[in-house]
Amino acid sequence: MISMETLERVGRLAELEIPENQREAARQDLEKMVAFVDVMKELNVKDVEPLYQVTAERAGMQNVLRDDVVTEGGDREALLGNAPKRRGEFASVPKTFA
Amino acid sequence: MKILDLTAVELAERIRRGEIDAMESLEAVFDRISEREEQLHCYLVLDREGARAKARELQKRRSAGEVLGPLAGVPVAVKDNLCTKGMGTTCGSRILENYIPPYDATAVRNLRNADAIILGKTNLDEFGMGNTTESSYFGLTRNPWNEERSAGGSSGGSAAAVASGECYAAIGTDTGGSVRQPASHCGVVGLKPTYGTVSRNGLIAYCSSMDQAGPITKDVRDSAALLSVIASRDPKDATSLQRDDLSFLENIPQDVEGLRIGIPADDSGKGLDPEIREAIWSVATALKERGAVLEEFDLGIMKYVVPAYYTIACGEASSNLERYDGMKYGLRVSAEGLQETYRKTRTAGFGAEVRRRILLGTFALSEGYYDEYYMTAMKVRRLIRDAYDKAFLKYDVLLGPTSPQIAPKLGESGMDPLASYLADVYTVPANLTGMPAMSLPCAMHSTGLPIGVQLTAALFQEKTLFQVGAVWEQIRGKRYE
Amino acid sequence: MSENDVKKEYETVIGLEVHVELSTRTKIFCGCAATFGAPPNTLVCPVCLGMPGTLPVLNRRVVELAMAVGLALGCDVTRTTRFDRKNYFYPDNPQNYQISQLYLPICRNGWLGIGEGDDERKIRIHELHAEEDAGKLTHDEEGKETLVDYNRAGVPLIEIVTEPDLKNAGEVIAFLEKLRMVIGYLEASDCKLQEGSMRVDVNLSLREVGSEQLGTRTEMKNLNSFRAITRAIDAEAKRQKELLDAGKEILQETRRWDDQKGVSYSMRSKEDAQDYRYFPDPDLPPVVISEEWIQAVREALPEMREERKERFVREYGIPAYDAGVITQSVRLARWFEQTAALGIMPKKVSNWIMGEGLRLLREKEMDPEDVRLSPEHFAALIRMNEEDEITNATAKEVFAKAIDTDLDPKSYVKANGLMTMRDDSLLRETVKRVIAENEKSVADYKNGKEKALGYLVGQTMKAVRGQALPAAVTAMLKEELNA
Repeated sequence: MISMETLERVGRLAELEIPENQREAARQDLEKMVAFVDVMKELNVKDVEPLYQVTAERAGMQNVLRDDVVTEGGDREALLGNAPKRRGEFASVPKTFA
Repeated sequence: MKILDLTAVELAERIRRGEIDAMESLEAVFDRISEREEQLHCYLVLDREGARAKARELQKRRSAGEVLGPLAGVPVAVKDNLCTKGMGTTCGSRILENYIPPYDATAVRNLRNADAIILGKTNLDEFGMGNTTESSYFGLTRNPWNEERSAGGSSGGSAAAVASGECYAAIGTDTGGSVRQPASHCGVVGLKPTYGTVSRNGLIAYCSSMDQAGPITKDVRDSAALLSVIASRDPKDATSLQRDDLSFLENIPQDVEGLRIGIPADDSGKGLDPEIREAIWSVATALKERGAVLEEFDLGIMKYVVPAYYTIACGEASSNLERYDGMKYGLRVSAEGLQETYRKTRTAGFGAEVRRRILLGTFALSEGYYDEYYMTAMKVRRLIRDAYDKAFLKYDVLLGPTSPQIAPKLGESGMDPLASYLADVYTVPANLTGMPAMSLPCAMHSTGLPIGVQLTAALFQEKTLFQVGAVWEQIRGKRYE
Repeated sequence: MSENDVKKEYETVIGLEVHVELSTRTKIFCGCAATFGAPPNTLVCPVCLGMPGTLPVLNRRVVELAMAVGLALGCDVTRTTRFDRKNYFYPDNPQNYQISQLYLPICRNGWLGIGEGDDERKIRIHELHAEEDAGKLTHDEEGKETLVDYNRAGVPLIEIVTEPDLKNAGEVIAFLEKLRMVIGYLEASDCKLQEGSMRVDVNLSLREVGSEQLGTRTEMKNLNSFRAITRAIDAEAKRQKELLDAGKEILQETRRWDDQKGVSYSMRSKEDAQDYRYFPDPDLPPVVISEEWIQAVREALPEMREERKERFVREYGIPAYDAGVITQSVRLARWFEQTAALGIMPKKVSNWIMGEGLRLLREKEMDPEDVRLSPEHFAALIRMNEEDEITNATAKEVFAKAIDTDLDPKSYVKANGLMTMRDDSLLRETVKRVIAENEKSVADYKNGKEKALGYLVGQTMKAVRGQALPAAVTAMLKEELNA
């Protein structure tokens, strides 16, 4: 039900490596989990609205917005201090294209 | 009374009155840690110097006549997926092994403002994904009742620390039961508040629409006290709520006369330990004797709660964990080129369970499958909430087991991930619906491990949980130590 | 025996995706300043850096500006609007997802007209949505690394997507200029292609004339000027036609325009088509927009171009043409109005703006926003010229200097001795001297050659370094010559 192609595509999207010798096991794993959640298809959800957020509506919290006032900014050392690689004021990452 | 036997509220009162020196209780906790921590491994980080400095500062302020905060001098442990400024925060993962947050989580800041002493960071399943605290990159945590057994998860470290006296109270996080279930396995009280009550700013996200920080404590009163402190409307969290009913310690009825208790029929059938079933019924019966009205009923949707939970949680998690890529913080594995760096870093940095859930979540969101899986799960979520809404028209509180089994033996759960997912069946509904739920110790299993009973209330009705919990504590007589 | 080899006729079909950086004070989801040009990584915080545990909170001003632009473009405002995560890994994107809007964009179904009167064509706008910008990558030529500046990460953008209603480069430019003007009027953005506050992606396909079916389209990026846009459109239409004529297929792909070389290159192959896995962002509750709020935004809309143009004709009595030119930019319109309010004849102000003003803006490659000359100083300059305190030539010279520096014309003229010569006797002396030194020209004039007078005027002007009124010089010369 879950093809190897699907597994590989999902792995690419998630930027995870699945070594050759673990692929079949990973595929079966994913297949089992998908089969497990497939039971939801027994329910008729045709006219049901998805429930993305559980409390905002019920608590009367709509339009949680921020004023356009500067409140943050710039302890560069504290913030970039965790970067694995730096080049002065910049974070350094492997070369990208375009 | 032995100083370590005090509850957090009792200790704070005495420290504020000047009867106890904050350093004394702190050192008692450190002694206990010296005795047991090596076996239990509750902590990933222990900040003795910082804690002592805070105790000294509190004493000084007290002597100067200052009135100290509501948790004055209480040594509290914080789960290591809540950010603590300047103190390592790993989420139990290699990918954040050396990460030091530049800010405090709002819940942590609230604890500090209440004058609690932050002892350190507790162990957890990696990124909160698990229910045995065995998937932590930094080693597992043992159950203080039986060191061959798991402390539960994912907040195993926090629960074990409270149960063993290695702190007076702890904060955990609960996405699918991760505060309630370890509390149940360790014989202490664990509360997941209504979603949005405690700010998620600084709570390193697993499933954004379900994550909630909650207190793990020795008793119900402590639970209410801790919740009052950590809860706040936070402008940095657009999903955090303004709640004006947070003084949980006051105005709570002392009895359960006329309270309507619903007991969901266990349609997940097999898998519930008969001793646990019996223990739950004895709680129900005792409450009935105090005037509560009991009724068994069928929720009708139990079969779907775990599948819906995992689809949604893994979906959101797969997106939340994309930021761990070796570029701005955390582990970077050197490789040729950008994409290789992403892949090698993430594959090396994340453990097997996290990778498994990311793959499932990515699948559930992917083109061609989104409607069938993620969207469907969100619709099923509404059906589940509707079922609970309907139940709460008839009942004030629902009562049932927290976990179908007692704490499992260490090393056994990794075998069949799906089986261990099914163990979340009683706890995940409160996360899916946002409703508050609490686990309380109710009996001892014949194997010498604690059994927990779970109470679930309607949205914003924590006070009902405290009410029933307090009455049960009265009935039960003594606290466990 | 040979087949009827008639080449097919094609028409070009173009749709645009325009990204515009909004001029809010802060970023869309955090309280960092959203200014341009700060030192790298100084306008950042844990939220826009995507640090663990951080959460977005929406800037109200972004909602208001997005609504304002949408309303000005005749759109419907979506009453419940929501943000979605667009997931893809790239280092300029700290969370590796961009918070954008797919399912419920804030505005939909508007239009913008290009052309005038009977020639006006309505270009339909499919939707307008808000999203966050990414950081900036600079490529390090020597090493194997790329440097990231996150200042721009989280700056608010609106994306305007048109239907494929445009037919050629000319229409595209007309559309973009009109769009810039509308957004400029709202002061929602300065829309500068070169600075990146406006970015345009062109979707182009060819359709057989008479057919309803759209051809395969390509997307073109890296179009940093109107010139590049025009060249790219023409080149792509040609490229696609050549392929189709040769019986080949058009690949659906994204192409990058290289303006230096005048060609485009394929960027991404569509086999590995990006699956963005859009889903509603769980950290941001929906925004519910009431009728009252829409009304309030509508009422707060400034007077837009058409109204303003008509009002200028009515209130200031300037010709429709002048009003049209001046109201192209809200800054110019305001400059005009504020200067005229200081008692200067409106037609004089509009002449200055349309003549010297526009010429200088072009020459100095300035935008109306860059004009510094205040209405007070502008008025003073015009007055000095009217009262002959300075000649036209001097006035133009001072205007050119002041337009981007706002120097005080009175002090400048004084300091540089540019006042028109008032002293008649000094002028007369000079005139006499010029007559004396130019016997031949004097003779020519006396013999009927009018041109010689012009020469003498020129010599006199030269002698007084331009600081006399040519008319006065001419009159005086005539006097002296005829004496």
